[in-house]
Amino acid sequence: MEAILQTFSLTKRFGDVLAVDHVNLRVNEGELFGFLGPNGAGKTTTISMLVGLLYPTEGRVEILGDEVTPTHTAPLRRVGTLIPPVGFVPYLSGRENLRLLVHLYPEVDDRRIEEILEQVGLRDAAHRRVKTYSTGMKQRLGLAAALLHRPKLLILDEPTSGLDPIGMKEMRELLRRLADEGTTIFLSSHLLHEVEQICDRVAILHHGRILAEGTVQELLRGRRDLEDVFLSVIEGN
Amino acid sequence: MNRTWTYFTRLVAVERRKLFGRALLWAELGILALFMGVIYVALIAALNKGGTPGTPPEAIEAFRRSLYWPAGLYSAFTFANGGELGGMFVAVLVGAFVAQEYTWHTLHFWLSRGVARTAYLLAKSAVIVLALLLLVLTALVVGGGVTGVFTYLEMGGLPLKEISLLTFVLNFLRTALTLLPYAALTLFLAVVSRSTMVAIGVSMAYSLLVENLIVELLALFSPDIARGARFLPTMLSKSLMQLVSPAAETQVQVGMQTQAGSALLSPNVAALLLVVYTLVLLGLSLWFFRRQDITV
Repeated sequence: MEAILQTFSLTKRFGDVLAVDHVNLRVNEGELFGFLGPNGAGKTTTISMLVGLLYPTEGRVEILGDEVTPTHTAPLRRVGTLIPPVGFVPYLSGRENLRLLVHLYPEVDDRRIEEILEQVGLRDAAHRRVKTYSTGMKQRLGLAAALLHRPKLLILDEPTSGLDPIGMKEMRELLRRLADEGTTIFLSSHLLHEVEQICDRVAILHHGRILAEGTVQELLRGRRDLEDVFLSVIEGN
Repeated sequence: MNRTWTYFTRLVAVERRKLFGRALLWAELGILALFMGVIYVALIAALNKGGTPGTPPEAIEAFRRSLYWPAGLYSAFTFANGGELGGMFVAVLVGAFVAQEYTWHTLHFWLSRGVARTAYLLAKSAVIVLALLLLVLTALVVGGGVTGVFTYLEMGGLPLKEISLLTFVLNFLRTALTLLPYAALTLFLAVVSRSTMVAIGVSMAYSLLVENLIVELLALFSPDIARGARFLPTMLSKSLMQLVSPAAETQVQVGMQTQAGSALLSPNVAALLLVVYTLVLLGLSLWFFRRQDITV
């Protein structure tokens, strides 16, 4: 299978703190890949390097077969990203914020914007300024922005944070459906049951290091659930 | 090349929508217009009352003439130049427009979508230039409008034949040019500090206090050292504005000669140095921005 996203010995150090320690990841085409770890494990730092916001101290990132660095982010135009807090222009409406993206993705038209607003359940609130949105609404709009141009790869950091239980369920179903339709998804989360329910493969990150990686079935072998796997891996370290 | 240009113009469109959709820009222009309107009306009212007691009649007459078109029209530019009100307005506008991208995470949003850092900052800079032109235009409309009405009422018409279109356009661009170093300085501060308060505060402190302080300090030394003040952006602005509104700037030049022991530079040299200041600060901003870790 073709690798859509790969990291090679990816490392990030902030002064004396080793936030990400020689992480090697491989996400294959069409896969829904779960990136698990407790708070402070280095998930967001890793994702920030994937999307060219941070310079790695060592190692490199390849997305869609092309290297990504903070000064070479062109491959990311074919990627959908959701990294909270999602940075929308607060004095523009939800719809206007999505319209700004049309300048970046010329293939997107007004019909697609309305379609995606409907899909994330924001059509009725799309005329409101983003500064009046709740966290959950911003998260939904963030997902709309990520999906707008029908990307081949989605990089999502805690996409269900701020959503109510119904919203979380809808989000899980949407992500599973997108993966089934062929979109590759890199999903970072600390919600174990969420990852267990929808992901094909999982990597567990702790103190910046990958402690376990495999399909959900492989990791669950002899274990009750992913929480059991997670705790034994973390505590065993 | 063509694709790169198309992509850049799209980014400019995004930044233009972001800036021109902001209440801050229109509030600033409104304040500038109001302030200038009040000043001009107050000046005309004072003139009509015969000025302050003891003012020689010839001085009052000279001042009256400086408000007639075309001099009155060009006097509007002096309000908007970088060494005057314009510098402060630019600091607030550019500081908020650039630094808030960090705090609002809009920067993260766009960069993580494959927008190149250099193109992003250059698109922002291009839109800032548009805003500066709008600022000068506002000053022109208000100042030119009030002095135009004054000229019409006093002289029974407007001396339009005395206004050269080329001079008018050049004066417009010269005034905008004086704003560029202040915009570039604020851009640089916003990128380096990532803080709206620091960018606006330091930039305003520089234009209001530091530059004048340097002029005063240099004047304490020998005349040769004092002449160094001519190379500060505020003095370069004054040098360039000699061409725009000679009457006002002559006073400055006389003041400078006595105060700092130096004359102003030639307008052409000043224009060149203003461009150099701008390019150096823009280059430094790009250099820092390209190397920055953008933390979430």
